[in-house]
Amino acid sequence: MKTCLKLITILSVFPLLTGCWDQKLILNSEVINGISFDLKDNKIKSTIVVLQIIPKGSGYFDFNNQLSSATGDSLDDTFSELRMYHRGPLSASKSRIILFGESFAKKNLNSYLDLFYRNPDPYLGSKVAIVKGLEASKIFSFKEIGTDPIAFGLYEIIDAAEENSTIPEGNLNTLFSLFNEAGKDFILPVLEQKGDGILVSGAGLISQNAYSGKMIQLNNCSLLLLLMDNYEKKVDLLTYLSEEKKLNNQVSYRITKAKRKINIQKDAFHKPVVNLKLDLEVGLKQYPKTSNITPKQLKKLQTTISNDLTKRSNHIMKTTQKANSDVLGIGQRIKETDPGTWQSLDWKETYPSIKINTHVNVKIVKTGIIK
Amino acid sequence: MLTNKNLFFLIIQAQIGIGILGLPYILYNDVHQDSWISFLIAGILAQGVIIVLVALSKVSPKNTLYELNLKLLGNFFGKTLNFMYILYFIAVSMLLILLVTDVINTWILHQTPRWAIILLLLLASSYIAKEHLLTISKTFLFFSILFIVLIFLLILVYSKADLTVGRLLPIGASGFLPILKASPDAFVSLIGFEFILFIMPFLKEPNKSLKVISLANIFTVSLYLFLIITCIIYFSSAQFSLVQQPLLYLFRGLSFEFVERIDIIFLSFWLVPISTTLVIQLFNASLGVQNLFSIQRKTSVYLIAFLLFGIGLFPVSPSLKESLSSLMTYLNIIFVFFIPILLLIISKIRVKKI
Repeated sequence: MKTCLKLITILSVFPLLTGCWDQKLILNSEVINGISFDLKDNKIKSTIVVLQIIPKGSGYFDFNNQLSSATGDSLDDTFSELRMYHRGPLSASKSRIILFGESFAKKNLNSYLDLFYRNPDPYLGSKVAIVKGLEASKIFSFKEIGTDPIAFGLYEIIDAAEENSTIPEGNLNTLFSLFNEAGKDFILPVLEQKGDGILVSGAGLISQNAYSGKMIQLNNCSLLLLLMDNYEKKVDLLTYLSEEKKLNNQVSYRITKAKRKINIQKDAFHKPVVNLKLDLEVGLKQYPKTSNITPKQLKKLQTTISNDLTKRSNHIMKTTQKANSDVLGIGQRIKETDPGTWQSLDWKETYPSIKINTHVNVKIVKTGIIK
Repeated sequence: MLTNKNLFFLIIQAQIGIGILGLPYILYNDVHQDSWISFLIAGILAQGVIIVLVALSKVSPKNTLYELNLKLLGNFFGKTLNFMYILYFIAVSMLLILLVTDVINTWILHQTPRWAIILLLLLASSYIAKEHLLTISKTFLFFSILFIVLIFLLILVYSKADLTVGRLLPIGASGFLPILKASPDAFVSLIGFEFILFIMPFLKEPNKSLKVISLANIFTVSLYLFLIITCIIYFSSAQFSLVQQPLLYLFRGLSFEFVERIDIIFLSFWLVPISTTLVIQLFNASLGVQNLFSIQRKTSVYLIAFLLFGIGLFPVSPSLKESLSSLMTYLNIIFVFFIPILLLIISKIRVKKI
């Protein structure tokens, strides 16, 4: 009797444990690798790329990107049409990349992307980028980057740009925590087509969850990251030795140590004044002449670089103010340290007009393996 | 006989369960970056309650609370109170089951009907709960490895994510009173130490029980504090007020070369500490049923499980669930805090009379 009861229990439990209600066979589902959103005639155009593997026998296989587009009034509206192009249920659980066309990015991204955060299925490790100069969906018509299928290739080039400290590390998940942060904006990578290739061409400044249309050019991106105090191990910068002669007259250096200090004071009208000080220790990578650099020259070089970087960082801060994108989180800092002042300020109005003084101080500590 | 080690793990398993998934969210919506202060206050409060509970169970260390009630209050009132306690434990289990099925349905198994999840949960829990206390405690000891997994994952969050320590500032901005007002919510998630009232007779060293339970409480409080602080510095304010299960969302963002979607993997494993809480509630309730109706404990475990399964089949609307949750907050405080204090006072008076 007892064994019989046990047996019945086990037999009735087994079918439950398999969870047959929720089985989703990979064989049937179509895995989205990349998604792009554009805005066209006041409608959203979504394009998805689904990787189709074509087996060619004995371990060889080829792939094909199946592209499909749909327009609609909301993201899910477009997805319901997109489903009709595919053989099985679409799954966004492995999407590598999400692209925004410029016009789409200028909308309030947070509210548009709600779908990704409200449902537990979508993968939040996808890289996010803005596409400049062409429709985002056109990027997917490139078949591959190197040997990687397009969606994977885009993921890789953005990942590489993050490692080079061109853009801060980020994905769909970090985006969620960046949205709506009081007193802080953020930047997103901008992709552009140049000739037959696609490259990360800079950092787009986001203001109030929407792309401001202004971006920081590639040569200044790393400096911005240093100012934001959000960089990876490898940070390289370039400086012209003189304004007149440009050809082969640049010194390049890698930052070995960076220290940022932000000091916020108030002026007579209770407006914040920001003093930003950046102390860098650098090692030389390239010098226009392969010759001995004397200590005197080195000192002069330090001043040249310091002045150049100070000028450039002032320019960067001006650009962020023009874009009304407080990427350094100065507002957040005021909110944390001086809640009273924060309450009295309308930060959206204040940020573009506050005074930000930046000063960069460079010390050359290494000259490479030759003196 | 339970050793101190057994007791320690029984208590932490009783304390940590489903509450850990959602507590930071609840606290954050009340007092924002000061959640951790609220929680610390609740932890100190819990320590006070523990002292009361241990004192109560030491009134007669050879008896469980059910037997003690009969001694203190006489047959009629004692039995009524015991019956209320049984109902309370069943209600706690019921709410637990509701919350678990809800989380599983929204996060992992969207199509699976509730009865299947409840059935599996109850089968596994009652299978452990029917055993002797020593067996239960040894099983829990083994399950406690999952706490190490949790701590490890939380540390990984620090290595992977972009954290803003400044989000903890300004400290104390919500004001003292709101912080204090939020602490009952936090206190409820620490409940579980009332288990001592029912296992005192089984302890090897009852004299050391206060120390062991306090240690267990300190462990739980520090784990929660670590989690709450991690959540505060990880989520932005706007995001934190949206995510209902911050712990899972914390892990949702983690991804590694070979493993992605840690949240789903974690939740699947976390069902174990959740069901250990259920096991303890089942144990408490079955002990009462055994005492009140003189049914074998093993049978009463199955009876209660069957009853829970029956109630679990009723559909529950989200609004009803919410009101049940807030009702349970009060019930918890009454049954774990007020009644034991009353009983302690009564026992002191009675002893004097004798």
